[in-house]
Amino acid sequence: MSAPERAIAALAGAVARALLLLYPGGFRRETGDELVRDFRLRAADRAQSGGGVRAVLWLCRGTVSLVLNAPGAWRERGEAGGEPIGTVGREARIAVRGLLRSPGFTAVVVGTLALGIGGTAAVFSVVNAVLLEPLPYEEPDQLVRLYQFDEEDPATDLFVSAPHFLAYREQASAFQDLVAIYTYEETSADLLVGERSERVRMLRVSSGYLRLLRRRPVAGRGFSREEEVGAPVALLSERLLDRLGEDRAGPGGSVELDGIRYTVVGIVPADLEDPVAGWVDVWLPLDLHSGGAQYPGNHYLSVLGRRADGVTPERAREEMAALDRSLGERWPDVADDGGFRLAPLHADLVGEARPILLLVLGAVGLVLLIACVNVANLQMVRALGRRRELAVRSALGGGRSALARQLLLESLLLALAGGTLGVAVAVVGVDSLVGLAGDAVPRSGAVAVDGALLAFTAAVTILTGVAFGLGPALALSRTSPAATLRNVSAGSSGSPRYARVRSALVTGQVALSLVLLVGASMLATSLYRMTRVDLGFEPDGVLTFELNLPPGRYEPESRASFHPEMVERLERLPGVEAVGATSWLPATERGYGWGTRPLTGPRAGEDEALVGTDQRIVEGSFFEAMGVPLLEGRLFDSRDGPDAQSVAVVSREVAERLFPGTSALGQRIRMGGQERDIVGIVGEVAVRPDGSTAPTVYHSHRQYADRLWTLTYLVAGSGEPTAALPEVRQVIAEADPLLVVHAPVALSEIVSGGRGREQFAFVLTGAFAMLALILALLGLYGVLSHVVRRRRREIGIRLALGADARGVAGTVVAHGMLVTGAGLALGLIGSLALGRVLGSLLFQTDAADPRILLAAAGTLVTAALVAAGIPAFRATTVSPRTTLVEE
Amino acid sequence: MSDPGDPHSFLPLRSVELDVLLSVADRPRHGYGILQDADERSGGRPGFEIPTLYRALRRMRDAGLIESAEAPEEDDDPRRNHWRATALGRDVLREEIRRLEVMVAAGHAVGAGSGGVA
Repeated sequence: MSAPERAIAALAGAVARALLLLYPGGFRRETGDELVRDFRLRAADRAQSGGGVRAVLWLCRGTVSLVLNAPGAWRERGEAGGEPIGTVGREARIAVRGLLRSPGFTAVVVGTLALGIGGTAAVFSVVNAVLLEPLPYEEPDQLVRLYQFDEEDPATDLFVSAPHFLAYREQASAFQDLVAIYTYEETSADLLVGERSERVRMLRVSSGYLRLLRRRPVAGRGFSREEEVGAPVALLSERLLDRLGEDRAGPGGSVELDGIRYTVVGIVPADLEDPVAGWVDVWLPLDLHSGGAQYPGNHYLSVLGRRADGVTPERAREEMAALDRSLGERWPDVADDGGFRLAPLHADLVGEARPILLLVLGAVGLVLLIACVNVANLQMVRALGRRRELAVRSALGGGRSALARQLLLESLLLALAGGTLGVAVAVVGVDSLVGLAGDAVPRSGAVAVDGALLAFTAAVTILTGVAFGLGPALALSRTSPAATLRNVSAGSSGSPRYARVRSALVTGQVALSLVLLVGASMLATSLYRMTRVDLGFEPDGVLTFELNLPPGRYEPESRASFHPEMVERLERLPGVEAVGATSWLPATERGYGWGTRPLTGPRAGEDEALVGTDQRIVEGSFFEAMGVPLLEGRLFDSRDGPDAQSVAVVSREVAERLFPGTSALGQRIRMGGQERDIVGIVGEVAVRPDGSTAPTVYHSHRQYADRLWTLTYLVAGSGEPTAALPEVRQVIAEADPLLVVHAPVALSEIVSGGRGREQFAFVLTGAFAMLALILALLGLYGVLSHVVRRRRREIGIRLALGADARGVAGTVVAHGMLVTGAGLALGLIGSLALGRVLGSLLFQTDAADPRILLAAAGTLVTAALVAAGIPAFRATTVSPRTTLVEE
Repeated sequence: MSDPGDPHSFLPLRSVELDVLLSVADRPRHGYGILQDADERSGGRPGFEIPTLYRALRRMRDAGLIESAEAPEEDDDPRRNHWRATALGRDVLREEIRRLEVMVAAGHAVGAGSGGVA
């Protein structure tokens, strides 16, 4: 057995041994050892076959089973003779009464546990659904994604070219299904519904799509190989049909998309979610044989595959490698053909979210730890206060195991109450988490309050109850009853040893709180820096929306002339300063990447003179609307029509890299099979929300309208961006009432939405840090109050002897600061370690930044001073006469 | 309370009890062995956990359906407590299987299950 397996087995054994206390003596004696041994064995088995997480999940189930079977064991024993039935019920009632006698204690413990357990369960739920749950398809482990890569940059995944895909599909026997889908860009289409158009999500796929996912159409069939020419057939989702109501179209019927009629050949089940594209309304067949599909160097397809039964990943890779080599010989001139990569689909989809989710899971685990420590503290105090009662019961012959059982019951009841409340917290928490996360976390649709959540909550509840109730209580019950009864000073509660243990616990809490505070501060700083980064354009005051001109109703010429007219009309609206349009918005990580070569100038003819550039097709006053500065030359204007010389505007980086030492104006470049003359150079514009830029080439839409571009409009004006929306809609409706103004939203919102992941991490960590701080402060307050109570007599005497009240208070505060200081030191080490872990999530923020550490530590110390101040003040109000008389 | 003389009075069996009898009807097994046997039968989802099993074993012993047995020669862990079905236990198992056969036939008649008309 490996070390983790041994650890889990040991844990399982310990849990079983502890919970056996709930069972009748006879059961324990006869079956106990074997049961514990089997628990360990099962846990180790599960760990070996399914990994640590599966073993823990099994342990949860086993723990719940242990608890739930106990009453039955008592009942059966009662029936067979022996101890009277109902013992457990009676003991439980005694335990409940005992807890109700200390309502404050019970309320605080239950509340603390509820927050800790509920929070952990909520986060675990999300992590489980996103990272652990298998994909919702049959035999999901067989699904892989295929990428190609460039020889010169093997680390970057590329899409697959159509000729490569067709060759793979025909010759790769390691796969039972290979399917290509078009996710290069998110495609939508306008579906004609009665008199109006509605935007629907569209996905182009090859044949065999449904077979890959192992789903049958609800009606009709999937696409055939012959239809892989962009045939006018379509698959509709049941969800779409439901949404449309009476406008139902079944197989044989037809729909009009973007002005073109398609025959419906099948209906797809409503619950089918595409693994990459998510919820799709309409599927259309790809064209794998004409146009761009003929070039092996044109990478634009996403390829999904299902390994054949019995084929291992290694064998699949080997076969594909051999196949790929032979294709390399068939097409020796293909520039980007470095090879391929097979990635298990699940890991591929959730990979990016993993660090965030694990971070959040870690943070909430810390909070749970702190909560449990608080509960342990409280339990210990209470047990100390009941030493006499426990000693009396023990002396009267209740038996150690009966005593232990009662204490265990109390702890379990507390944990149960806390856990039940925690489920409510978890349900609310899960909803909030998913709402907060938005796009930052993939597969969030799969998150739900489910059996795994409840089992996890139950197990944590029980384990908490056992660990922190039984331990201290049992230790205390071991003290000799006689000695306890002889101890006269019943008012004082506890020897210095316990106070030291409690102080140590609080030190731990302070340390954990510091770690969380530092983490939250780091993420906050990172987020703040992100919002201040220069994006190269002005996001404020700009309204954006997509406007798609359906190819069925607009020819390239009418598309080319439509946009300039629309721009002009929109610019006449009051309050509008500039209107432009573009194929892709900046700072959203989307774009077309093509290699660009110089055809003239100092580097013309050089093989390495190839720069990967982002392409943007623009119209109207795009640069003005976005606030992008013109550096040299000119922008597009009315000269640049379809019959004029083909021109381009480039970003500064393109000019510097392709034409070093000379002006790029008037030079000629080539990309994507197009040649253009450079007429202008503009400033860099960010392609990602963190401000990173890429060399960009801009084209005039009128000179590129033969290809279908859906343009996003930018309406820049004074005032609220969305205020102009009704008038914009009217202007567009006047031109063509069937056009859809799609997804109107302020540009600033899109940009800030791109920071979703970082925002999510920060908000959560910040919330946890606050929670941890509160809990730690409560712990500190509790310890110091306890110290003051314990030493009341001593304090009273000192005050009577003329000691300065402030000095006494100072002693208390000093004690508090000592505990806090120790905690800070420990926490500092933890924080440095955390910095390394957070690394990839931080933007322009140094993980070991002393300012952040100081700020967090300062906050803690200040709060701790307040928490220590109250008991310190109370110490000064101790009346010497009262305490002396008490004894 | 079940009548030791009448196997029918034990029916219907709890599913864990059926699993136990199936495992120990023809050869002795220890607790974990019964669990593993149920694992195999059900493809990894035995439908009961260890505590449920051990409680059932005690109950069945008290009711006379199973009894302690010697470990067979080739067993991996002879120190463990082994169980085997008593004559009563085998009778009860037989009656339960008969009862289930009736159910299965009824199921096929309404088109459920793999033996029926699809």
